[in-house]
Amino acid sequence: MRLLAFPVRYVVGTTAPHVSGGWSLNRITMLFLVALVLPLGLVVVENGFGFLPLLGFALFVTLAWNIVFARVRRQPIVMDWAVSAISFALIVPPDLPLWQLGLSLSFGIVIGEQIFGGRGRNFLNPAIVALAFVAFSFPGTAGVHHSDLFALAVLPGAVLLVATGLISWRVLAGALLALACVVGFARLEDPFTSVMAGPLVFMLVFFACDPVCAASTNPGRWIYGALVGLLIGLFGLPGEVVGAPTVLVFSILLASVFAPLIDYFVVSLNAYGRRRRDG
Amino acid sequence: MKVKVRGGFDIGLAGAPRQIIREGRELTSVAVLGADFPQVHPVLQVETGDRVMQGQTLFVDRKRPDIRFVSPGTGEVTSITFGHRRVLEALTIHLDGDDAVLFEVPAVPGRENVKNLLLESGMWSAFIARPFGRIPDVNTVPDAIFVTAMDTNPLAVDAGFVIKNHDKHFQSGLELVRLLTQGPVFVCQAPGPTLVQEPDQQLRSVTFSGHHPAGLPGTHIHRLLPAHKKRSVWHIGYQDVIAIGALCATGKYLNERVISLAGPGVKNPSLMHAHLGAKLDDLLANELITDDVEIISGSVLSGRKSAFLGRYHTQVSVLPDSRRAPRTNWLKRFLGTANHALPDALIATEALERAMVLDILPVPLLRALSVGDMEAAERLGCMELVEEDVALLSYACTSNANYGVLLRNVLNELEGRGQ
Repeated sequence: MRLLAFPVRYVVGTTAPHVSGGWSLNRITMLFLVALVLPLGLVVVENGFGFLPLLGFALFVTLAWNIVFARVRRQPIVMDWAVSAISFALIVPPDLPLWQLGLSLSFGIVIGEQIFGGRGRNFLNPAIVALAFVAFSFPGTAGVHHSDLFALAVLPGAVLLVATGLISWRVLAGALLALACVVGFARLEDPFTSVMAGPLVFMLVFFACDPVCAASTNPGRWIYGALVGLLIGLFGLPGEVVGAPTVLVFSILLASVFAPLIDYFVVSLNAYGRRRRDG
Repeated sequence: MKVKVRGGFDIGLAGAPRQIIREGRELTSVAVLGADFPQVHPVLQVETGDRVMQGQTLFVDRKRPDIRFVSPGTGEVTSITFGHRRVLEALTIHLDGDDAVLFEVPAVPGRENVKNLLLESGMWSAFIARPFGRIPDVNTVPDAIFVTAMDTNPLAVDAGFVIKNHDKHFQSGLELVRLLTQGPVFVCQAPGPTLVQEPDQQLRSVTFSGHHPAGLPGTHIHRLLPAHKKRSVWHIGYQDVIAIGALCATGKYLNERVISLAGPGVKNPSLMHAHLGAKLDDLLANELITDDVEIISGSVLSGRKSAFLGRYHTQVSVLPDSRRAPRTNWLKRFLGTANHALPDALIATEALERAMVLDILPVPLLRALSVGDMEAAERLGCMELVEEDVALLSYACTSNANYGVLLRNVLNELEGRGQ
């Protein structure tokens, strides 16, 4: 598959290479933000301006923590805080009191990301950690602000992220295949609506496929994706909706915890193959 | 045999060379550069002010005195400079003639006398051994020799074109090279008519297609006969095979190469005859669009900034000057405590998978290299790599880390442990 790429940059220095593909943390963040525009726009249009205070507060909390840690570590701020805040705000129940929202998000950002050294050095998506915190600590707040259009609004962004190689199509395919298998076995009456209602597509694309918390080897990505799909199916079947937010949060969280282990096995297998080849 | 390489990058740079050969300009001086032979501790045989002839030994390796490094031109040694820890930086020769040392070519070539001819004439250093990418020891016999008869680097010379022009020397060079091993000699070329006139059991023609790094010896070796602790293979560039053929025909050390002079900063990007070690200022006189450029000997992925043409380089890449003041704004000033010495984080994007075309897991390898974990890097296959093989990983990574340098650190440790 050909990747959409940035223009080549010249970085002539003392050692090769003297060109760079231009992949940087901030540019990657920009593409994620572009991918978020449509789903965000849809939610704002459908929920009116009542959604904006929640979004603003989420942005404020994330930025504050990022500034604190960047100052302490004397490191530049990477723009990815905006992605965490927006994706969190789009999934969190809209009637959640602000203090609960602030507490959950702080937990997610600090424990899920910043104490590891920031994005790319952590292994869980901070928004998923924050959402899990919400589900554990403040149960029963299950507001819904997603229409059927929400899944559709995610698609253009998903195509962009796959085309630029920022998320792996292998994870997505693995998850959808495994989910289709589970749902197929369960013989749901109306499988498509049951699965697509709610934020399933959004959470697969922005949380499960997040390159930071997914497996980081190609075979591992298939296995990890399949694990996500399998868990969503297994956790979701007893309830009414397979794609319920809580089901998704815990499936993705659990799968991400296993991602390093999956990579470990893939690496061992690769190393074993090399040892056998080399005699 | 055909090998299709999936992945890789086609780095689009302006100023691709037209494949026509122009005559090089009049040179004032040439140099032999220490940076070309990082593992060699030179014992000098000449002094500043000496007259030297093309093919005359300039220095030998202290640890392996049979390995000689000879003069690429005739003239006077004008300067010998040393860098940090008295490593040879450059030995510069002012050119003023074209007589050359005549080497005695064996009438019936055999393994021993060809080896001696190559050692005497300084052509031994054309071979590079894997693992580690060093000039091979005199007494080792490789399990295979890979002739790199293609070049997929950005702005590179079309190897097939040059070989067609020097076909006689290329074929006779192959006949000599094959004497050095009992194993196969793989001539790795781009798709097209075979470049080996008489292939047989030993001398095999292999076609590699795909984007860069499909043309790197590291890729060829990995696909055909991987090097590891117990198996040493050598590789040699096609122009050095031609030079060996020419040496055999004329008895003289061939000091000329066909290079590509290309890149966004060049007026008339094309191929050119150039002296080994040529002074690039001479070569580039009247060739540049502006003077505000960076001149790289070698490819933009694996070459280096240099005033002279490197021993193994067949291209000169000219890029616009990239030294700009870092961009700043109020937000950056507000957050302006950045510690830029630290590399950014690595994000495991598909671009990294694309950049690694071998059966090696890129992200785990890069993580092992980043922390200098020698054991893990070895398990992940770093013994098969040298700097140029991981150049695309640095190119595609978010971290700004130079994985070539990190890889060499790990290889040096592994090499030291093996001895």
